[in-house]
Amino acid sequence: MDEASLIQAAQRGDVAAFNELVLAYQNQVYNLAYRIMGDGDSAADATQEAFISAYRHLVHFRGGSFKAWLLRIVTNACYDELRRQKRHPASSLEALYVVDEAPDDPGLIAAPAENPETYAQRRELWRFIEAGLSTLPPDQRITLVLSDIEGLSYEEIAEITSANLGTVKSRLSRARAKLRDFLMAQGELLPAHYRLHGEGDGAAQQVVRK
Amino acid sequence: MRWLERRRREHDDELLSAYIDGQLLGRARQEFEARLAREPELRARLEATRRMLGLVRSLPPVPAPRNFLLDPAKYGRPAHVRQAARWYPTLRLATTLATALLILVFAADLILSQALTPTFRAAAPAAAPQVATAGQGARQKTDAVEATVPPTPAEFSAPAPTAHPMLAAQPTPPSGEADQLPSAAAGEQAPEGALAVTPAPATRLGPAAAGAATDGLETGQPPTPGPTEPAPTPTAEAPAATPMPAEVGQAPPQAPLPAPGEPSQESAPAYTPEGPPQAPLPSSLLRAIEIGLAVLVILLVGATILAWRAT
Repeated sequence: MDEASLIQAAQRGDVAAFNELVLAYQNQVYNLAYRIMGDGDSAADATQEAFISAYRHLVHFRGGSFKAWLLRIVTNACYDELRRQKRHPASSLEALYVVDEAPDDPGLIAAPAENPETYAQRRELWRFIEAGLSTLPPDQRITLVLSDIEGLSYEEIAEITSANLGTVKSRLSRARAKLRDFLMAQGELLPAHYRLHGEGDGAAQQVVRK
Repeated sequence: MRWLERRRREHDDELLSAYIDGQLLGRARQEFEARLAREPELRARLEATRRMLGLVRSLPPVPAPRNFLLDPAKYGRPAHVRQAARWYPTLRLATTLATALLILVFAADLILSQALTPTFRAAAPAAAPQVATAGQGARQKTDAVEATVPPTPAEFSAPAPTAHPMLAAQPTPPSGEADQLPSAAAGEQAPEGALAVTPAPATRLGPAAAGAATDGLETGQPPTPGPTEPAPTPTAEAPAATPMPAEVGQAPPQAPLPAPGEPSQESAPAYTPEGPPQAPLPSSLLRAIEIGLAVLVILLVGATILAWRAT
C-alpha cells in the first residue's frame, strides 16, 4: 500500500495503517527530536507525543508533503517540551549540558570500523557539537537543525516553524555564528586535527584539518 | 562604537550564511566576493563557518531507540465509528443547507403573512353582515331570542371557520349579553325547551355572565352547570366571521352534528361559510414546511455532532 492509501486508511481510523507510517518515519522524526531536545528521553517523549498528535489530527491533513507535516508536528511537540523544561529548569539543566551516554548515543550506534583513537576523537567532537547546539535558543536551534541537519529549504522551514522567510534567514545566520564561535571557544579541548586555531587578533579563526 | 562593530559583524554573518546557501545573487554576490578577496578576516570566518557546517552535517543519524507504534486497542476505533467519521463532511454540509433553507422559508412566511394581513382585515367586516343575515333565519325559528346584536370584534377571535352551518346561523351576541346564547341554542337544538341548553363556553363567560345567562332565559330552565364546565352545545359565536386563521387552533370543541332532518338543517342554505380568504392555504403550507425543516435541522445537527465526535 502506498503512502497516500495508508494516509487515507489512517484518516478513517485504521491504526494498523497509521503504524505503517510510523515505521516509515519514526527514525527521521526521532532524529529531529533528538537534535532539538539534546537527550534521548526527551526526544522519545516528544516523538511519541508527535505520533499521537499526528494520528488525532490526521483528518485535518489535506495533502501535500506528509513528511513536512509530520516534522512540523514533532517540532511543535519539541517546542512544548522545551517550554515545559524552561518552566522547570532544575530538570532541564542536566539535559542541556550533559551529553547523553544512553544506548541511543549516536557514537555507539554508528560505531565505525576505524581505529579506536580516531573513533574516540570523533565521538568527542560530536559531543562538543551537541553541547554547542544545546546552548542555542530554541528558535535558532530548531532552524539550524532543520536546515543543516535535516536539509530542508528556507521555505519548508518557514512553513514548519510558522515564521516568515526573513525570520528564518536571520535565525539561521545567528545560530551558525553562535555555534561556530562556541566551537572555536572550545578549540583547545578538541582533538588536534579538529582544533580551531586563532588568526590575527582572534576574531578570525578557522578549523584546521591535519 | 562597540555596538556598531557588533552590528556590522552580525550583518557580515548574515551575508556569510546567505552566501554559503547560494542565496546571495547578482550584484550583492559580486560585492561580497570582492570583500572576501580584500578582507582576510572575513574570508577566514567564511571558512570557519563552512567547516563548522561540515562538522554538523557529519553528525550521524540517530535511529529511534524503540518503535513508536500506537496501540490499536487504545487508539483504534470501531468500524461504525470510522464510518460515522466519514459522513461528517456530508452531514455538516447538509446541516448548513437545511438551516439556510429553514431561514429562507421562515422569511418567506413572514413576508407573505405581512403582505396578506390587510386582506384579512378587509374580509372580516364583509363576513360580519353575512353572519348577521344568516342569523335572521335563526331568529325566525326561535322565540327564545329577544334581540340580537351584531357580532363584536371579540367574536372574531373565536372559533373554527369550518363550523357546521347550524352553528354559523346562530347570532353572535356580545359577551356581555350572553343570555342570548342558551336561548339560541335551545331554539336550534331543542325547540321544546328540553334543556340541552348551556351557556356559552365557560372560558368566555365568567360566573357572573353565566348567571346572567340563566336569568335571561325565557324558557325558565334551571341554570346550567358551573362556568368551568365545557359546553357541549354549540357556541354562539359566528365561526364564519372569524377572520384569523391563526385562531383556528383555539376553537372550542364543536357541537355534535344534528341528525339529518332536524329543523336546524333548514338554516344551512341560508349561510354557507366560505371560509377565510385564500391566505391560510399557503400560510399553513409554509408553516408545515417550517416545522418539517426545523425537525430535519435538529436531527442533522445531532447526527453531525455525533459524526464530529467520531472524527
